[in-house]
Amino acid sequence: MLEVKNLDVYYGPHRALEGFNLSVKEGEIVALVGANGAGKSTLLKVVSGLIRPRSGEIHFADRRVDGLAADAVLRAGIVHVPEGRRVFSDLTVEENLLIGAFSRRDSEIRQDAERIYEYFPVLKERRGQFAGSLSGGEQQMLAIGRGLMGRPKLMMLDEPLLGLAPVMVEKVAEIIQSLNRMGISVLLAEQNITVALGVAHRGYVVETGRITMEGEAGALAADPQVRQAYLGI
Amino acid sequence: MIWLFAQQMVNGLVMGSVYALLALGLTISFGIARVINFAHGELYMLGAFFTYVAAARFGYLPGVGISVLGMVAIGLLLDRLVLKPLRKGKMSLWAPFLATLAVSVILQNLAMAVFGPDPYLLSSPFAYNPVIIAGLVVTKQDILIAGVSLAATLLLTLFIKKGRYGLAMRAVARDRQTAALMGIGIEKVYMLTFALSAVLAGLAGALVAPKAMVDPFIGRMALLKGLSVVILGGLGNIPGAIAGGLVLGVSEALGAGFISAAYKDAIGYALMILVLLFRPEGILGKKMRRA
Repeated sequence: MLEVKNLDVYYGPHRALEGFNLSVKEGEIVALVGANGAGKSTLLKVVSGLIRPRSGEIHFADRRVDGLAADAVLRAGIVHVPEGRRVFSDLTVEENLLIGAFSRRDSEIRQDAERIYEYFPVLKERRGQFAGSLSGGEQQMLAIGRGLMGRPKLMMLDEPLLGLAPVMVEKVAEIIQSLNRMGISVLLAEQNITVALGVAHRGYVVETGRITMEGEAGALAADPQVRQAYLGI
Repeated sequence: MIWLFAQQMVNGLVMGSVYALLALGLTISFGIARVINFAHGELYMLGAFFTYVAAARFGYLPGVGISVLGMVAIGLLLDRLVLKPLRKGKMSLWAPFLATLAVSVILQNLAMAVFGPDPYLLSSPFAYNPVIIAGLVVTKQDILIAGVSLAATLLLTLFIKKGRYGLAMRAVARDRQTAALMGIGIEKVYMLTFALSAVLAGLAGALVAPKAMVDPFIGRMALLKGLSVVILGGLGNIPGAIAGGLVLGVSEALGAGFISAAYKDAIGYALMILVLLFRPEGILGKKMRRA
């Protein structure tokens, strides 16, 4: 479904991604794990059209999407839930959801918002409040809900667990799995390797802009090298 | 005494609604695009001249309409030709500041070349034969000014609060990268912002011109008034721009009536300095937050 081929990305003279190859198949959860600054966010930003790659190709659902503007990528069915949630803090919860549907012109936007409220009752209670008044976990739910309003086929989540209380980490992990059961493929960029590989089907390990390991999530989590480098055991 | 007070209140509210229009344009371009537009006064001047030219052929009110259309074009040109190239990379406050200052000088000189330095009188059929309501003297032009300003303000507020692109404007104001991720065409939002901003300034010019004269340099004072109001009301704050405009208009008029007309402008600036000293976030502004 998503094919990233031989991607090279630079920030000015600095290489951020090198010869990057990655795929997400339909119905999969794929974890992209690695330390801070390894290039996970950069990959997501390139896929969603915020950054232009220097070379390489990105295909999505048999279409070439590298070089497309962010709104065109979104319409193709890829939603990017950015790092740090980035909800619009002085817009209400409801307005945040509506803005997630900005690219849509159909008449089912209201219905979708109601469905999201059903799924995240806490958002319904706070629909009239400013998003900035929500807790971190609630903001993450709102960011995911806002993403769902774009009716994604593939949702890319950037560090959705960062800074959340342990209870919330579990909750968001469950949400990711249930998104997947709804038929949405997921690309999950995450530093929390244990949880990320726990929910994913497959995983990639990124170090300084390169993929150093890939495989079944369970196998990666059991790999002695991964365990030593990232889990300290 | 009471009559003078009431009469000056009316005069102040009329001028105040013009100041509010000027400030609204400035405040949306700052609030949404982070541009303090130093050519805003020249947009006001162009609005007045466009109306002057169009009114000579089609009459005053159609002239105002044509001027509004012209201002849409001017706003779009300002954004495409001057501001868009400056948006690449990190947004700086200084580049647009200097660029719009240059635009201001260029427009003043263009207007000089076309119209010369002498003031023109834009005549409006509403500016004569004042009506007397409850002993207070008001021209129909005053009523038109207040009415159109009120309508424009309400429409703008409603649009920003409820409109599809109004929502997009608020999102871009807060976080343009995330707004782009939502599929919002950022450039469209900026174009819309400057078109609206130019229309508001031009409308102010078109409405006030029959009460004053039109020359290539009327924009300087208009910019100063607009900036004072924006500071009074809080930068980027829409209700603040409206309140600030009315407060400035009324205090100038009361000062002119009770102290001296010669001190009218000084009173406005004194008010601005007081606000800066004691309430720098503006009368309706919230405490400064991370922008």
